[in-house]
Parts: sequence; C-alpha cells; structure tokens
Amino acid sequence: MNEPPPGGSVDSTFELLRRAKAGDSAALERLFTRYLPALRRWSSGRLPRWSRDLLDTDDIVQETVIRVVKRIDTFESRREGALLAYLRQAVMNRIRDELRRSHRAPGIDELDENQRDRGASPLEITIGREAVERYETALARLRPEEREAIVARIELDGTYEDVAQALGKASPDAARMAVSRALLRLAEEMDHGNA
Amino acid sequence: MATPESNALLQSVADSIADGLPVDWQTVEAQVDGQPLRLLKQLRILSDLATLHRTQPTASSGTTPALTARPKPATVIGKWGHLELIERLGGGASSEVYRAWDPQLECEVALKLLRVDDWSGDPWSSRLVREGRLLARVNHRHVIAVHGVAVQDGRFGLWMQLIRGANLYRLVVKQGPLSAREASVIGIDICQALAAVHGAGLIHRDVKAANVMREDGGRIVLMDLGMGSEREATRSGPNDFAGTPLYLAPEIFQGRQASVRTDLYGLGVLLYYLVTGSYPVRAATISELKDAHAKGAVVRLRDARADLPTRFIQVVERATAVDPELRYPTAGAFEADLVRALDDTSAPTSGRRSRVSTRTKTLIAASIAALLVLGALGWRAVTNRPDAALAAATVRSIVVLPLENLSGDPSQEYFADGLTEVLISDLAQIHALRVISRTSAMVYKGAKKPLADIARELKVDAVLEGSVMRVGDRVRITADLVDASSDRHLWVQTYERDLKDVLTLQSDVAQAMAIGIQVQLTPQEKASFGAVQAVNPAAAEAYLRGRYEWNKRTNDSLQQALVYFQQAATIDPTFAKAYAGQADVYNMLPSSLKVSDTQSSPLVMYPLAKATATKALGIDSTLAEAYASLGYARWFSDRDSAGAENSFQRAIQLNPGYATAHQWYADYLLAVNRVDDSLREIETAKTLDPLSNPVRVIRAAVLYSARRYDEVIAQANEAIQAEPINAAAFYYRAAAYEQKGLLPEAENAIRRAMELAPRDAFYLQELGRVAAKKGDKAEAARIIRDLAAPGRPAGTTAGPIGFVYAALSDRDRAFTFLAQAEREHWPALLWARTLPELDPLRNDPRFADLLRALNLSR
Repeated sequence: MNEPPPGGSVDSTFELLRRAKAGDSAALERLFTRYLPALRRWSSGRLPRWSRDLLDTDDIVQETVIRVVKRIDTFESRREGALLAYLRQAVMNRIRDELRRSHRAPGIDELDENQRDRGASPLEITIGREAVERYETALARLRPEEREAIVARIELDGTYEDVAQALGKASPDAARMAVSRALLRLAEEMDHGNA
Repeated sequence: MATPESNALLQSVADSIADGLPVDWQTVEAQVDGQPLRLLKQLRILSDLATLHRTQPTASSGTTPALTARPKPATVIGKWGHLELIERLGGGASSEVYRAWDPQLECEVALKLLRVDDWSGDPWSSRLVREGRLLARVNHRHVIAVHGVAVQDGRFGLWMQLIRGANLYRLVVKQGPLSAREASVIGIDICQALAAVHGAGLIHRDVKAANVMREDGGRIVLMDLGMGSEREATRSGPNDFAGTPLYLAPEIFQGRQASVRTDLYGLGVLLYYLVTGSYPVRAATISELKDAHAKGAVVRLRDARADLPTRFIQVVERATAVDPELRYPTAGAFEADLVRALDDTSAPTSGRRSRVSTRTKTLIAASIAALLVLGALGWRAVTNRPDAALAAATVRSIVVLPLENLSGDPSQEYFADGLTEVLISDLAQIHALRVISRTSAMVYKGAKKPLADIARELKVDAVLEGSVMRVGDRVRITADLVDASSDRHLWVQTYERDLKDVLTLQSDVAQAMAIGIQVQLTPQEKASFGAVQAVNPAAAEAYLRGRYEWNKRTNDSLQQALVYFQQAATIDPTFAKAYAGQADVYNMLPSSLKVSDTQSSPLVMYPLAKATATKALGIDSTLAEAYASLGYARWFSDRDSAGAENSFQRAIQLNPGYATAHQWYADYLLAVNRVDDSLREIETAKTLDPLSNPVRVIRAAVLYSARRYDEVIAQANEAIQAEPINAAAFYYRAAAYEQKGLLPEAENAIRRAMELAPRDAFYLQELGRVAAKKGDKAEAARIIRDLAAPGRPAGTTAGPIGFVYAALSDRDRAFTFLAQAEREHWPALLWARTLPELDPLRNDPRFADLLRALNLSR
C-alpha cells in the first residue's frame, strides 16, 4: 500500500494476478513490489520479537503471497481491498502456524526463559493479548467492505487514495468516511465482545 | 446512553484515528459515560493499534520506509535497466557508483556498476555476485541493505540502500580526531554489524573508515560488504593509495586467509584512526608496510594520543595485536569490552555533532543534496559549530521537544517520553530559564512543524530536540539546542550511560546545557544537580513506565502508574521519586473517577498522598514534585492552610518551572481568598504551559473569582477554540455572561456545556440560575426538581440546588442545601470565599457558620 504501483489500477492488479498465476515472473515481481513492503511492516507488528530470529518474516510474507497467487481460483471478488484483506489474513494464518510449529520445536523452551514476555508481539505488548483477540474477532464480524477499510488504512497504513482504490470509492474523502464509519462499527463489535 | 452529542464526539474521535491524529483521551473520556464511554475505550485500543502499525519499522531493513512515494527526480543522466541514473557519486578502476531512481520501489538507491572489462568469463559466476547474494541475507540496521544484482545493458550492477551522510574517513579529515567515547560508541555499532556479517558466514575483508557511513540522524552503516576480496588490489580514490593495506592484519601479508580476526583487526585500526587520524603501522608503500609489520614497528596508541582513557587503549591494542590468537575471537567479545571502556570515559563527548534529528534534517534539506553518500562532499551541513556567544545573548526560555525514540520499537515510547519529562523537570529547576512544561511540549510529538513556528507558538527563544537510543542496559541521548530565530545550533552533545545512571544523565544534560548557553546557576541549583543519585536500573525503568502511565491521566492508567511507582520503590527503597510519583497518583485518583468508589475516595487517598510525599521528602528534601503533592494533600485533606502554603512555596522555590505546582498553588490561593496572588500563580502556570487546556480553564476560574468577566469570556473562548468539546470552558463562559447580566448569551453557552456533559448537575444549576435571573421562577423550580430527582450520584446535587436558591434569593433554602453540601464534602464549596454565586448570601450570619464548618473562616 505504501508503494502504489505506477498506473496501478484495480484491473491491472487482477490482470497481474492472472499473469502471475500463469507463471509470469515479472507479474509476480510487480505484485511483490505492490504488496510486500506493507505486509512485511504489518507482520513485524504481529510477530513476537524472539520469533524473528527463528522465522524469516520476509520469507513468510513472500511465500504466503505466492501461495495466494497459486490458489487464486478461489478468489472471486474484484475489489483490490478484498485481495488485500485476504492476503493479510493469509499471512496472519501462516504466522500462527509457524509460531505453533516453533513452540513445538525441541530446545525452544530452554531458550525461552521468559516465555510470557518474549512470546508477545509488539501489538500484544501495546494493547494486550486479550484486546488483540477481541479485535480479531470483531474484525471478522464486520461486513467485508468495512473490514477492508480497516485493513487498508489502519493496519497497512495506506493513503486515502490507496484506500479509495482498494474499496472502489470515488474519492479519498469517501474513503476517509468509510474508514471512520468502519472504526465505529468495529468499536461496537469489540464492545459486544467485551460484555 | 447515546445522544446526538455523544455520537458526534465518537464520530470526531473515529475521524482523528482514521487520519492518524492524536486524541486527547483524558478530555474526551470525561465528556461521556455509559455505552459511549465504553465505545471510546474500544476506539482508544484501535488508536493504539493504528499507531503501532503506522510506526512499525519494516521487518527487512529495520528502517522506517517513507509512507508516501518520494517524488521522482527531475534530471536523469542515464539509464541502467529499470534504474534512472541521477548523479555520479564516485568511482574507481573497476566500478562506478551512482545515485539512481528506482521507479518500482519509488525511492533513490545507490547503484554500483562494474566495468565490462572487469568481468572474467560468466559474470554470474563471479565471486562478487555470489557474495552479493549472500549479503542480501544480512539483515541488520548497521549493515547496508542490498536491493538486487543484475546484468543490464551489458553491465553488471548491484543496487542498494542510499545512505545520506558522510563516511568516517571524511568525518575525521574534516573535523579532526574524535573522542574515545565517540569512537567507542561507533565501534559498538560496527561490532554489531560485523557480528551480523560473520553470522551470515561472511568475512567483510575491507573494514575501514571509508567503508563506514554515519548517516544523517546518526545511524552507523557498514558498507561495501563482500566487495573487499575483489577490491583489495584496486585503488578507488585519491586517498586510498595505501588506505586498505593499512587496515590489513599482518598475517595477510604472510599469505594467510582472511578471517573473523582479520576483520576485527581492521576494526581496531579503524578505531585507532578515529581517535588519531593516523594508523598503528605506518608506511608509504605496501613493501614498506610489510617491512614495518615484519619489524613490529607499531606506534602505540598512548604515544599517538596521550589523553585517551586507558581502557579504550587496551581494547584497541588487543584488537590490533600481531598474534591473531591474542585478538578478540568474536565481534561480540570486542563489543563487550568497548561497552566496558565507555564506563572509563565518563566525560561527555562535546562540541561535535553526532546526529541530526529528523526535524533538523528537514530544516537543512537544502544542504543534504551536497551530502550524498560515498565520498561526496562530506559533513558540511552538520559541522556548524555551536555558537555559545549567540546563546548567551538570547536564550532565556526553551522548549524541550519530545525526545525521539530511536529504538524502532513503539513499546519503548514510554522510555523516550519519560526521559523527556525528567529532562524538562531538571531544566525547570533553573531559575534563570523559562522551560515549557510537558503538556505543551508533548503537543509537538511527531509533529512536522518548523522549529521557528513552534518557538513562536510557545514564545520561547530556543528549541531543544534530541533522541534516545537504548540498547540493553545502555542508554544514549543526543541533545541539540537550536536558536529559533536564526536556526543556528547553539549546543549539541551526545551522552551515553548505564541504565542505572539514566536519571543522573538527564541532570547532567540539563546542567551542561545551562553552562553551554551561559545561564547562571545558583549554588543551590548546582548542588541539586550534583545530588541526583544513581538508581537500580529496574527501579528507573519502572519509574519511567509509571510516569508514562501517569501522563495519560485516565483512571486505569493512574492505577497502572501506581503499580509501577510502587514497584520502583520496592526495588529501590531509597528512590525518592518513586514515592513522589505515588503521591501524585493518590492526589489525582479521587478526581479521576466518574463514579464514587470508596477505595479511591478522598478520605482514603489524600492521607496516602501525604504519607508517600512525606516519605519521598524524607529521602530527598529537594523534590519539588513531592512538596507540591504534599501541599495539595494538606489542603484538600486537612485544610491545613499554613502547611499547604509552605509546601507549595517550597516546591516552587525548588523548581520554579514546575507548572503543576503553580497551578495547584493558584487553586489553593483562590480558596483562601487571595485572588491577586492566585492570578499571579496561574499566569506563571500559563507562561510555562501555554497550550495546556486545564491551565486555561483554571485561569478562567481564577479570573471569574476575580470578577474580571470579560477576561473570563476571552480565556474560555481560547480554551474552546483549542478544544471545542470542553464543557468546563463553556460553563465559565456562561457564568461570566450571567454575572454580566447577558442572560441569552449565558443560556446559549450553558446549553452547549450541557450538550457535552448532559448529566452534570453543576451545569444544570447554571441553567437554573440563568432562569432565576430572567425571572422565570417556574423554570428555575423545574430545574431544582430535576436536580433533586432520584438517579443522580449521591453528594452531587445539594450544592447545585443551593446555588439556584441563592440566585432566586431564597436564603433559607440556599443555606439548608449548602449545609448539606458541606456535610457531603461537595468539592466546589472549598472556594466558597470567592465564588460570585454566593455573593447574595455573604452578609447573612449563616454564611460565617458555613465558612467555619468548611474550616475556611480565617
């Protein structure tokens, strides 16, 4: 999101996806250029500090994007925001898998004297594990467009121009309104989760 | 319950989060309750989450990328593949280096192009390419990041991060040798870089001053990784004739392989060069050099520079030992000794600028073009010598901008913010200097405003900006004082200490800056700076976390702050500030609660505040914060007028720049009917903390009691302009209009306050008073019934009802309800001696009884 592609329209994104799936490595590179920086930055907020020595964040993100590209048949939405949210969720699932796997790895327990603190991601350290869980549950309950607005702007720090493109909105102002409304909806869902 | 007003408030908060703007949570949370408050709390979590993601550095490079694409350069001198060449930065026999634009990444990069004739056979099998590929795996903030390698247009190229700054060779040529301390700090960073390189299975082979950049902003970056093996025989610049060989370990000349220990030897030579501008083994040609090594002709570092600390010399001599087995085995071992050597060089590095902060960078953007990497023009823009003479003439007021957290870890914000506060507090002790308080300074956290604008808004002569870097138990602080009108650097220093000395460090910075700008320190101030004790690192850390929570001023954060302060005191029972922090929290807890809570009632909290403040002062009798807290508790808990006054005055004497002490003292003086003195104190608080809305509102309250109603209205309007949802400001506007007899204006204003805080009985009574003064007794009576209706929190309505009866001139009922309010400890009555609302009752004998009951009769 931080690296808007030259002339990158929604159509070109899906065209790139199609070409990448067909094995066009240049198209895959373009997709990487478009999405990897923001997803890597995002994932560094979600990975516990200790795990970064064991897991290569860049590899995780990159491999996940490649997997998504390969499985793209199952992806029907034509909104770029939907693709972003999908990628984000895929990376999140992959991180969870990897963390589970590394916890099972022999020797980790001995290395990790202070499991509780070291096991927390920067986000968990900032808002607390329970709040992160409530947030994820609430995010999943939002309507797709609301979720995409949150992912594009709040999580991936896209500009309003990026968000407008991702959500198919007419203007940055319209994107701003969508993000703001989605935040309120999300707060309500989180409040329900808190009850 | 949700109302149109609370919905509007929530919407506005959501807009701010979406825009990435800060939200004053304390203020907005005070405006609502029930479900809207719960939603606000969720929004606050979302705001924290958004901030974290916004500020998270990239996982791969460890640096924060630009959030928006940088503009493409206007002039292009050529192309190579997809890269557009902008400028040739340097070059040698085998390669050329360009500044280039990468349209795919939308950023500038450094591109190294090998000459075609430098290839032998298949370029992809060249060692350089193989190492380039390995280097792409080295991911470290002190190692240059490689973007890619390719053959394009018949030329092999490697493109990488563009570092803006100067290399260490140029730095020493331009500025002369560095101090041992500064060299150690740089050496520690290079050790970390080499540890990453070695950890990736690589040997650098060409560690030298010209291959290490100091980026604008201070980051040390090891360059040209893996190039060394291909460049040993080449000469890449006019000063490099014997440059690289001078860094080579003696065994290399005997035909032995490069190793970790030869890299570390190179670093030893580099450190020697940084502090002397020369080399341990000196020669004009390679054969002379071989000769010198063979004869063991080494110039001892002590002989090259006599004033260096012994421990530093020992580290360098071990690193450059002739026998590899005597050298450091790993970069980590080298680093550990450098860290220990820092303890031996406790004098701060001075005069030489170590870092340029982001903000300053924007100010010298024009000069940066001249500072582009790889041996360009060097260090010019950052070598402006501090101009103390200028400072002496002009600087009598400063603002300390929030210190930048350079750890790249948002969870370390508390540390940078806490140190900012400690620094402000230390500087504020200097009587000859006006220092802007924390609340107003923090408004500029993350702001991109020009320094001159900030100085103008705060009416200060100079701006102190800086950064904090913490690595384990080491803390490095850089401070840079800039003259606001001329943008000249008045004073720049870098400090490094152990965490246990972090509070002493702030005191050192404050004192050194005062001396640097020739501010006269009184003997007492000097003594106070000298008296700051080192504390247990864990206690210091808990204290800074406590301050961070305390400044959020929510009920939860105050509770959390209390836990941290208690933790700090448990770890280090002699740490006075930990007790003073507890006292602050105990004083604030009663008023932070929306609902009554016996655990946090004033009857419990104020005595605890008094006890902890007294404990703090028992350890350190120079703590202004503890005196202010003691004064506050003495007044609110005991009505101990003399004791409170003594404490406030002592606090202000010890730290004249502590705005909270002036603010609380003003509150007290108003209560004891010393309105002029109160005005003087609140004016001082406002000068020290010009952007604080609580100070603005209290100033309106003081002016109101002084019956200076036009000024009340002006002050309230200023507060409203800064914060359109400040109900208290609307209240003072209404009350002033009411006293002036401008009843429609009063009614408009109080209705705005009630929209913002619909359940507040105090605002409702003002509406009742306006009705009474308009002669609308029926409406006033309806409001009294509304106030008396069940469902309002206990202890909050008798006083307001009494006030409405006073406006109705119904003295009997007024006194009945005020007496009840007194029994219920209704806080507003503490200011009974000056409140204009009570004027109609003052000549009644029962008023004296009321004052006696309130212990206010003197």
